[in-house]
Amino acid sequence: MSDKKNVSAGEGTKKPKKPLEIISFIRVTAVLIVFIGLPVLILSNISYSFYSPQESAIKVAFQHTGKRIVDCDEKDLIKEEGKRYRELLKTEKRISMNMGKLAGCPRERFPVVVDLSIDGRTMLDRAYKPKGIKRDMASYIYDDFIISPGVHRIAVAMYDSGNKNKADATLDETVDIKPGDVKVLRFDDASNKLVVE
Amino acid sequence: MSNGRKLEGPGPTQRLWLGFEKIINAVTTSEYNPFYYLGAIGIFFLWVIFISGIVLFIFYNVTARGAYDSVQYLTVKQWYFGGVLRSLHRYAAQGLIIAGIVHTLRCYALDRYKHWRWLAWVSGVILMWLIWIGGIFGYWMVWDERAKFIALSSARMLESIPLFGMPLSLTFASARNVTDEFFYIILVIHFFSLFVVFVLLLVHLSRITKSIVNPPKLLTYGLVFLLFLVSLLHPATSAPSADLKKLTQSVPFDWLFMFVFPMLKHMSAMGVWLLIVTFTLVISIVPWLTRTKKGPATVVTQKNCTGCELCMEDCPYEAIQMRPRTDSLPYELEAVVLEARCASCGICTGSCDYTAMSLPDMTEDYLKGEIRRCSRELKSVNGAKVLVFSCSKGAFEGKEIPGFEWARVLTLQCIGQLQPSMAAIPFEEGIDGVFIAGCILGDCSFRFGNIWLEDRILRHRPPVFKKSIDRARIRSVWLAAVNKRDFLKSLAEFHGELEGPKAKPA
Ligand code: HEM
Repeated sequence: MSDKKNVSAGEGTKKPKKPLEIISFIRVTAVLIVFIGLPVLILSNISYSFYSPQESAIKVAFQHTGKRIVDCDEKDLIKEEGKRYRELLKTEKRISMNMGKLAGCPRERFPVVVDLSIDGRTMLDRAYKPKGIKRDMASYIYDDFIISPGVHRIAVAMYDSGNKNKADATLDETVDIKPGDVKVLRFDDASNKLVVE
Repeated sequence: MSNGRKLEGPGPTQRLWLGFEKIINAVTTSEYNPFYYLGAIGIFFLWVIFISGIVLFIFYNVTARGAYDSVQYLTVKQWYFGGVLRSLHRYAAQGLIIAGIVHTLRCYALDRYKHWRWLAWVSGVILMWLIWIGGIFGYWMVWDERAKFIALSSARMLESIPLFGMPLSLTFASARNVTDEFFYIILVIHFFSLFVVFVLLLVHLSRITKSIVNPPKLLTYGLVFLLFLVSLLHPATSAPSADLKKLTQSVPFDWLFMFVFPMLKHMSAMGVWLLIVTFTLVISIVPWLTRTKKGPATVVTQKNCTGCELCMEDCPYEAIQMRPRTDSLPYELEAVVLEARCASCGICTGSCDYTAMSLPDMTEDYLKGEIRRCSRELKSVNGAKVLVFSCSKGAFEGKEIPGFEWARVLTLQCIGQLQPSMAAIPFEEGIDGVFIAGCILGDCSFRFGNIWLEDRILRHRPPVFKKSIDRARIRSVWLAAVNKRDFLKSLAEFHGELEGPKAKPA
C-alpha cells in the first residue's frame, strides 16, 4: 500500500480525487469575489455627504499679530545700557552690563479679539491668544460656521490692542452666499482691512 | 491518576467559525481555503501596494496644482496602464483592510490571541492603524473633493490635540496656503507609513516560526485575477478637483478608510479621539481581559537532550532556542525553553525521540501508561480493536465512543504531541489498528502539529514512524471539530477494513 493512500487529507476523505486545477481556481476566485471583491466594491461606493446641499459656510481664517502689551523698545534699551556702561567705565575698573534689564523687556502681545455677527446675531466673540512661549508671536484665528445660503449681513470688529472700546478694524457687508459656498473672512495685511472673499 | 491535563475542546464561538469554514472548504477544499491564509493574503496585498505605488509615484506630480491632473491623466488618458495600476493600488489597500479585519476576527473567534500570541495581537492592532493612516494620506494625495474632505476632517482632528501649534484648518481655508511643500510632506508620510508597516510586520511575525507569508499559488492567482477584475470593471477614479471655496458635497466614500470622519458630525474631534483611543486600548488588552489558564511550559531533561535541534525546528512559536552545552555530555548544543513563549502544545515532545522534552502535566510516562491502560481495557473485545489518538481541538472529545466499544480514545493537547514511538506501543499491547485524528490540514491550533505528524507518518520528517509497522493498521484523518460525523464514518470504515481480510500482524 502506498504511503499516500494511507493518509486521508482533511475532507479529502470524501473526495480522494483532487478537482481539476482550473475548477479549483474558479472556486477559489468565487470565494475571493464574495468575501473580498464585493465588500470592497460595496464599501467604497456608498456615496456620503457630510454637508447637505442646502448648507453654506463662513470661515474666519487669518493670521494676525496683536500689538505689544508694554511698549518696550529693545533697541532703545540697548542704546541706553551701552551709554551707562561707557560712563561707568570711566570711573570704575570692573563693571558688568545689566543683561537682566534687557531680557526683562516684555515682548508679550495682546490677543486678537474677533467679534462677528451675522444678521445681527453674535456668532463669535473670541480672543485668540498669541502663539509662542512668551506669547510674543502672531495669533492664529480660525473658526467656521455653517449657515443657510442667501443674503446675509456680516458685521465684524477686530481688536488687537487690548482696548475693547475701539476696534482696530471693522467690516460691515452684505453678502449673497450660494448653496455650498464657503466665504472666508480674513484680515488683509497689505490694505490693513478685513475682507470677505 | 496523579498526572494528566484537563483538555478543553473548542467552545461555541470556535465551532461557529469552524462551521463557516467547513462550508468554504466544501467549495475550495482545505488546501486553498482563503480563511486559512488571511495573514498571507494581507502580505500579498502589501506587495501589490508597494509595487504599484512605485510606478504611480513616477507619474505623480508633487505640487499643489499638478497633483490632481497627474492622477487624472493616469486614470483617463492612460487607463490601460497607469489607470489599472491606480486601481490595483487602491483595491489592494482596501483588500488589505478586509483581510486584516477578518484575520483579527478569526484569531479572536478561534481563541488564538492570548498568552504567547500577545505580541502578534498587539502589534496587529497597531498595524491596522498604520495601514489606515497610510490609506488616508493616499487619498489625500489625489487632491480631489474627497481628499479635501479628508484633509479638512483630519485637520479638525489634528488641531484638537493641543500639541499642534498651527491650526491646519487655517491652511485649508484658502488655496493660497496649500503649498507644494505640503504635498511633499503628505507623500513622505504616505510612503513612510508603508515602510513602517513592513517593519512592524517583522515584529508581528517575530515569535511565529516559519510564518506563512505567501498564499498557495492557486490562491495567489485567484487574488491577482480578482484585483484585475475589479480594476477593469470598476476602475478607481477621482472626485472633482478640490475646490476650497465650496463645501464638500456627496463624494464616493470609502468606508473602509474614511469611517472615522462622519463621527465628527455627531461629536467633537476630542470625542472622536477618545473613542479611537479607548477602542484601541480595549482591543489591545483583550488578551489579558479574557486570559485563561495556560498549561505549564515544556521542561527539558538535559541529560537526555542530544542537541539535535528537531524540537527547535518544530516549535511553532519560537519558544525553543539552542545554546552551547552547559554540561559535560559530548554534544555541541542543548535546548532551552522560553517559558513565556511556550504554548504548552507538546509538539516538541512529539519531535523528541529521547524523552528530553516533557510537559509536566502530560509526561511521556503518563501518556505511555494511558496507552497501555486503554489497550488493556480493550483486551476482552472480540474482533479488531482500535486505539484512537485524537487532538483536543479536533473532531472528537471523550474517551469512549458510544456504539464503538472496540475503540478507546486518547486525547492529546495537539496531535503533533504524538511521538512515533508512542504510536507503536498499542501494537505491542495487542491493538489491531491506530487511528489518528488531527485537525484539518491547513488549520492547526498550534499551526503545524498536524502537518508535522503527517510528515512523520509518511517518513518525511524525523523522528519517523517505524518501517516495521504495517501501514494498513494506521489511519490518519484530518478533520475540524465540526466534522464529527466524518470522524465516526472514517473510524467505522477503518474498523471494517481491519475486520475484513485480516491485516497481517505487525
Ligand atoms: C493587515 C495586516 C496583517 C498582516 C499582513 C498579518 C499577517 C500575519 C501573518 C502572516 C501571520 C502568520 C500566520 C501563520 O503563519 O500562522 C499572522 C499571525 C497572527 N496575527 Fe496577523 N496580520 C495582520 C494584522 C493582524 C491584526 C490586526 C491582528 C489582531 C489584532 C493580528 C493578529 C495575529 C495573531 C494573533 C497571529 C498569530 C496567529 C496564530 O498564532 O495562529 N494580525 N499575521
